Amino acid sequence: MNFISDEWIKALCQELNESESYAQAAKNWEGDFYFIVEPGGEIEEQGIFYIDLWHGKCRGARLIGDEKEEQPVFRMSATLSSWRKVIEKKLDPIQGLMTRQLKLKGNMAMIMRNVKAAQELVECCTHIETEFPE
Amino acid sequence: MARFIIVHTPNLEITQDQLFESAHEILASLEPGVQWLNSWSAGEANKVFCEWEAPDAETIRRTLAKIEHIMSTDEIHSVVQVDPNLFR
Repeated sequence: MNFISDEWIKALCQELNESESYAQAAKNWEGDFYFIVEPGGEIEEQGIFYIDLWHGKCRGARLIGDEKEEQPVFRMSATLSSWRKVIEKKLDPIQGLMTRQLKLKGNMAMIMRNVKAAQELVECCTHIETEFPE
Repeated sequence: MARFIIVHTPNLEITQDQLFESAHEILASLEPGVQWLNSWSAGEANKVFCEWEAPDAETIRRTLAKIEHIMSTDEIHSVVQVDPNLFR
């Protein structure tokens, strides 16, 4: 499945909704995200995923055409290379945030306090057979 | 040189840029003989534990005063490393 596609983010949403571990870890989480793949290298235009995460469930997710379509609480952006490292568990998402390899707009402390939820989300990403642009 | 464990509480309103820039500020202002060796974030408890090497606690306290508004310094403990291999 191609990484920057509507199919991919919907697959992640499904994985999250089927994960007991994620449901438990994120049971108190309230907040939607843009996950933004920055242009550069193989990527000509930015790719924007919208995902609505609420109390351990994914209420919806889609690939966004225009950044103005939603007003999410959090915006996390990175190069394709950094996203790939996270999805392949070569970069811990919290370490990525602290070193600004993943750039965040939104309350940093709120994310830091939900480390387990972030890790379970990444775990769900690893269940998707992902093809990255070469 | 003595080894220290420092307990911090990050400001709940901290932004990523503030955190990143304060880390840079600290690294750029280390006095001779002082090293920031490692850090562990305990996000759920809103604590950060850091390991430093320095001549004394006062030197560390002076260095960290610059970021007190971003991350308070709650405790500084002088510690001695214990190698578990010594118990085998």
